[in-house]
Amino acid sequence: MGCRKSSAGLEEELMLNTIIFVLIYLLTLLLAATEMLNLSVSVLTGALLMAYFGLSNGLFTYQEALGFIDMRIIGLIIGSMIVIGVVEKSGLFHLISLYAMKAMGGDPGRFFIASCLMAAIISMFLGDQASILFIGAAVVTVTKLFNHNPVPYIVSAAIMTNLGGTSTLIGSTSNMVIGIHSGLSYANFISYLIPLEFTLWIVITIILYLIYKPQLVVERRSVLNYNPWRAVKDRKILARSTILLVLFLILMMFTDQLGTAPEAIALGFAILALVVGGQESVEIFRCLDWETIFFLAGMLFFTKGFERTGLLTTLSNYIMGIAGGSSLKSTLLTMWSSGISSTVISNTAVALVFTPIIQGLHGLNKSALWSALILGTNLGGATTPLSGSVWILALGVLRREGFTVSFVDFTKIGVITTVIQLCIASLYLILRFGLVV
Amino acid sequence: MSKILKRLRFRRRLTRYDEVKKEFEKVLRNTITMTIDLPEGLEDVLEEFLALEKDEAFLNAVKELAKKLLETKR
Repeated sequence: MGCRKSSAGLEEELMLNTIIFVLIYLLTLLLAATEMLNLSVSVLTGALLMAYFGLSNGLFTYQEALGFIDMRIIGLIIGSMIVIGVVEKSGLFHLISLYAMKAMGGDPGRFFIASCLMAAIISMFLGDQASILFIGAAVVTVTKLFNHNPVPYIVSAAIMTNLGGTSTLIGSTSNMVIGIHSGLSYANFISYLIPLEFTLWIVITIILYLIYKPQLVVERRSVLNYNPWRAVKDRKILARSTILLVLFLILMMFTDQLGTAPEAIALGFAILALVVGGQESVEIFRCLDWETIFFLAGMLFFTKGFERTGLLTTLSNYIMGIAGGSSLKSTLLTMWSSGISSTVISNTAVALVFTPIIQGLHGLNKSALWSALILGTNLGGATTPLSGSVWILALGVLRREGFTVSFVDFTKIGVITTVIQLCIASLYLILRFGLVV
Repeated sequence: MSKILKRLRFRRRLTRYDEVKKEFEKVLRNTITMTIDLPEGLEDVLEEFLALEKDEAFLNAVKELAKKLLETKR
């Protein structure tokens, strides 16, 4: 009888902690949404409150809380940012973009396709925000010279930037989170997702082209006369940075065979890049996306706190209940629910919430589930201007150039492309992982 | 929409956009950027000197000078 009473008391306490943590989460969302505090500061404030209540109510100890922030993820992000930062400063991405634009000449249709593909390729390496700013700057400069309307190019570049980093471990922050938690290697990401990603690149580029074709009917201009190599300050540094990037990607591909963790390679190459990359280390450190790093640290703490309440296990069991032990149902449920959630919440936050849920699922095709989560969190990220920073920055670039696009117009294109991407991805997952009923 | 943009404080990030755009413009439009120091002994006309940066007549004169110099180098 005494035992039952203490068990009921424990459950009651756990329920109380769950309610407190959910309230803290809602408060964090409110702080971020009303911009009373910056997004990363809102999350850190929430994490601090969670630490206070978690420690006061004995949900976890201080020693346990110290381990809540997974330094492997932070290491992978900082390492990758430094390597890519050094490569970007060498002018490699400028050179590639300038050659691509020169090859397409003054034909607006061909330039449109080139800018779409360029956005996708560059975002495989650069973060989404850095990619859209980079492509935006390139596209705006050319469209101004050609007297074209930049709107179709920028809107399409935003969609393609979001799509670009889907199939690589370092392509987006959410991928890094999923990669570290799932144990999927760089090679796994590529083998599971590259065929779909390339298919989506082609399909979405064609759809965007068809949507914007009437606006691309402008006078064809002569090919610009410029030397792309002017973007490169030092060819030796460019050569060294290119070799560094190639080696980095090759080693990332073979982490399984080498028995090394991706974060170890990223951090190792980051130090190597700082030594041989020929860039000012202070400048590289200044350019790191600290907002994302601190946001992630806060979110990692949040998720671990929620794990302690048992809420995420309950959600896992609920999903198992709905899916009825079927890999097909659970995979599609994971992809669509994470995809829809990512249209309104940061996809990194969605990835952090879903990873422990998937870890808690048993007897299902885990590779399919992780792939579904990668696809859902990435593809949902460019549906509306509320989905993430890519849209907001794209709108910001257009406003800076004196163009305005309505919320509805943006959302229309975003919803069409996201739904098509998720439908194709559903079909792909079924075929790729043999999820036939 | 403008409220959303204002609220989400992305202006700071757009400075990066301006930097990259300048880099592209430099290559695509074949332009050069130079720094001219205030000539010695003309400290009393500092304001006028700084205004030259946006003075169309001055910029056209520099363009003409560059043109003449380049033509002699042909």
